[in-house]
Amino acid sequence: MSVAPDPEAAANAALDAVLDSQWRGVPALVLRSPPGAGKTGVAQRVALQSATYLQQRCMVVTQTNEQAFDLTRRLAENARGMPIYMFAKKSLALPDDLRRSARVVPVHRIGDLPQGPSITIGNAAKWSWVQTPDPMFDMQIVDEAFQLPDYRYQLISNLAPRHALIGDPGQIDPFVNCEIERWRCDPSGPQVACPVALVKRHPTVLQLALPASRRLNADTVSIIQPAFYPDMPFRAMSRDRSVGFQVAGIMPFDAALDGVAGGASIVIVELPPQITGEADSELAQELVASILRLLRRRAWMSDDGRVRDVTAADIGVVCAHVSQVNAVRERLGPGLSEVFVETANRFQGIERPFMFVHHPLSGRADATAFHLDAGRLCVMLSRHRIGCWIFGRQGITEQLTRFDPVGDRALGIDDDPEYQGWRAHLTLLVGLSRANRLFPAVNGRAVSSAA
Amino acid sequence: MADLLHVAARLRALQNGQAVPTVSQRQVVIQPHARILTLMSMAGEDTSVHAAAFGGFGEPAQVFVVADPRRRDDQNALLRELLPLFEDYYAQCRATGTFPQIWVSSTGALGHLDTLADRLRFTDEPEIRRLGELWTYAGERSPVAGQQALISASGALRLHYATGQQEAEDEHLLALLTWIDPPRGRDIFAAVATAEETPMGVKTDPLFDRSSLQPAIDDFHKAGSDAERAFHQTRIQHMLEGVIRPIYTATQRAMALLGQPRWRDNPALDELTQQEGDEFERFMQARDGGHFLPYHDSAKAGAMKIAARERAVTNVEAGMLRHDHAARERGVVKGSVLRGQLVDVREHHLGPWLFEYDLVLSSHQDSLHLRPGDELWLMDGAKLSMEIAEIERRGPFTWVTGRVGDGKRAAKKMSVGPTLDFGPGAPNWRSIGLELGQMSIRLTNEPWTHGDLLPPATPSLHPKPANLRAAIEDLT
Repeated sequence: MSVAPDPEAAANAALDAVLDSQWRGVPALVLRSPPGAGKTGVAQRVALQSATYLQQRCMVVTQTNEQAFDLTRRLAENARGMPIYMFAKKSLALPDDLRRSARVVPVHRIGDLPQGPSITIGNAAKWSWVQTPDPMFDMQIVDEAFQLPDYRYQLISNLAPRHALIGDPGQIDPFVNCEIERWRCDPSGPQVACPVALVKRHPTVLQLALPASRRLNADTVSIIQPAFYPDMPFRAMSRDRSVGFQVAGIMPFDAALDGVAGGASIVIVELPPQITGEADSELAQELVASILRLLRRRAWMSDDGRVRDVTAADIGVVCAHVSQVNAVRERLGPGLSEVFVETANRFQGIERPFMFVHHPLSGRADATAFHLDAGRLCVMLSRHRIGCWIFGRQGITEQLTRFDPVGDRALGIDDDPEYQGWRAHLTLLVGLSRANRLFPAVNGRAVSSAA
Repeated sequence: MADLLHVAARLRALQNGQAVPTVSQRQVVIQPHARILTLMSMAGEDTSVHAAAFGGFGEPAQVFVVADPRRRDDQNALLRELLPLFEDYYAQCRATGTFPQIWVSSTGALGHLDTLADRLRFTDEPEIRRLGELWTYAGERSPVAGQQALISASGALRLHYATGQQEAEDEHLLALLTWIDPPRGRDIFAAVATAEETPMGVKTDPLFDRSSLQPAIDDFHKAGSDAERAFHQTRIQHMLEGVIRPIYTATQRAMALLGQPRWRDNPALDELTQQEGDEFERFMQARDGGHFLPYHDSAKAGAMKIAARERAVTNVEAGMLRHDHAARERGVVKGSVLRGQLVDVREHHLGPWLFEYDLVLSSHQDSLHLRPGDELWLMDGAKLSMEIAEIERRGPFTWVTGRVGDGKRAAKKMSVGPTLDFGPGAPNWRSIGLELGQMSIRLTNEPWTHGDLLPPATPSLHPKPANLRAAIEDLT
């Protein structure tokens, strides 16, 4: 695959191809997107085209209610004043803006679904409880489709004859909470992400890719793309993403802050080595103190020409475990309540100018498939628009080199997720170390040699 | 790492030179009529049965041996002998409204039985097929959370004890039993090394194969008369009985250990017993109805099985957290259970006869899997739920505030002071049936996405804007 010289022109060409495919009436389109490439925007445009020019009944499938709210918000701003239907259970509390919007029509019963050209949004679980074996729509758009396991997709796929599956193949695989050995050798098994399974069953379905990230800057793309998307080249569309400080750096952690101000969009902050298990109160404290320091130095940011002061709402914290999220949240206090803290699973589809990351392998004695998962790390390192600080205990590189991926692969399955995760982790750490992007924490000692 | 309690127990076992009990309640259902099945395959013939030992709990084994399982007629004869044993046992269980339970020695033996069941279902002989179908019940249930149909003795013991060796080493049943009941005055590692010399898997020892079994099988094939053949058959029988009986006996020992009254009753198992009985009856009704058991699942069957398995995991976890003390403590350490002292009960008067209640708990747990909006249920006593509204750190404590949903009357009567546990709601096994029923409706017609044929493209007949992208951008 070749990359067009101008990322914006390439992105426009990709959008043209997506829109045109719907006029050709392809039965299914699988659209792969790198992080921050505007896939939700593409879903929005495909839905608007479907309900207006193509005169179709269009259903949009999201994975969570939050994603449904976000997409509804975008679609409700359409220029034609078209109502957007939200298919959800009655007890679901809509956000205030959606509840007040005259264009958002909640629908709780199948009988109340619109009969003419329209857009109806609902999460996959809600759609799967529709009690009819027959199609009810002309077009089905699945947003964040790589998060939907095939068996859940199967439950909704016959609601419409034509499909667009849009998502990021580099993110976390669908979560299936049970033993799946029985289907491991089946590349289109029920546990597999639905776009992957669909392509395995029907290799000739139309597949397209978005070629540029609007969110990630060039420095981040140079780190993320080779580590997590080796088979999917993409480039950064942004030209101007920077941060600066009105207060000069004098504290130990300022070196890590200044590193990002100097153009290193991803850096690592290391705490002294310690086996802490999942909960690491010292790391959580360090992370919160660093956020405070970022704000106290009166940071400003430039985001594609828009210059303004950094506020707590511009900052996100992402962790592997809910307990780590909790450890950070409870230390933030009321002054930092706008800092968004979540697990990688729930951070998918969300971005912030600045991200603080609790490294999934920090403080661990082992390296399990969950913590090595390339998708999880990819999500964590691709949420920021400007800068990302990774917090972890020293010795992660040594921990990785000690660890042998067991190579527990299945016949007929090309992927080896554990090895891919191990490789991605090591590539990233060695790359950051070689680029001198390792900084000691405020109370830290010498930085470990990662190479 | 996720289970620090288990790591600590293993260290203690290493220190003591003896396995340490990690729970006080029984973790598996032990059917009084359970059967022990020990199978041995021939090296290089993974789906063969060279010898089988079968018997009830506390009963001596009936041993079946074939001279060479590669001789198909002989192999089938052995399997035909096993069929009535299982047919009768299953029929008895069905008649008494319960489920059959088969104990094998290890996870490897469990896998062997599962593989055999799949293979035997696709033979030409109806009796062998039937045996495969009956074994398939155990095999198909074995990966499902909370199942009680097929139990590996080593796996069951590991749910109750921690040893001072690697977890993989616990798969050798005799070594595991040695850790649990070590010989007096002897170094534990020397005792375990001795135990490990006795085969406990599904295959014989390679040295034994070379020096004894293989020559005996050769002699059997070279025999010039029926009498000579019978002699060598008996010789092989004796050899393999010497291997298979210790495995059978070790499995009996494991069952006896777990049947001891020291293990207290576990109410979580009552629901699993009921669930297993229902599953067994459904399975047998499907056999009565002549439903085919395929080797590979259709897309629809796969979807339904995986959904049922996911629900089972949730239900088993919820049941264990509620009724199993060790699971509850693990939940507290991991943070899936909120344990806190009730420090405030706030009543909000919203109108005539309209009240809301907030509970405030103070917890010193390091790890808490909580988010605002989560619904937690009181795990003991009254049926009471609360939706988490606020989580705040105050010094070494976490203060959690929740709005009471169900159980407002109970909340009104609460007074500050006691320590309460909150966690997931009670298991709902009925929900599996409801979900599968709904899935069945949704999947009545196979969607093209999960079939073989890709439908043709159907171009739109509507007029297409000249500048499509600009036209769509105008809509946003």
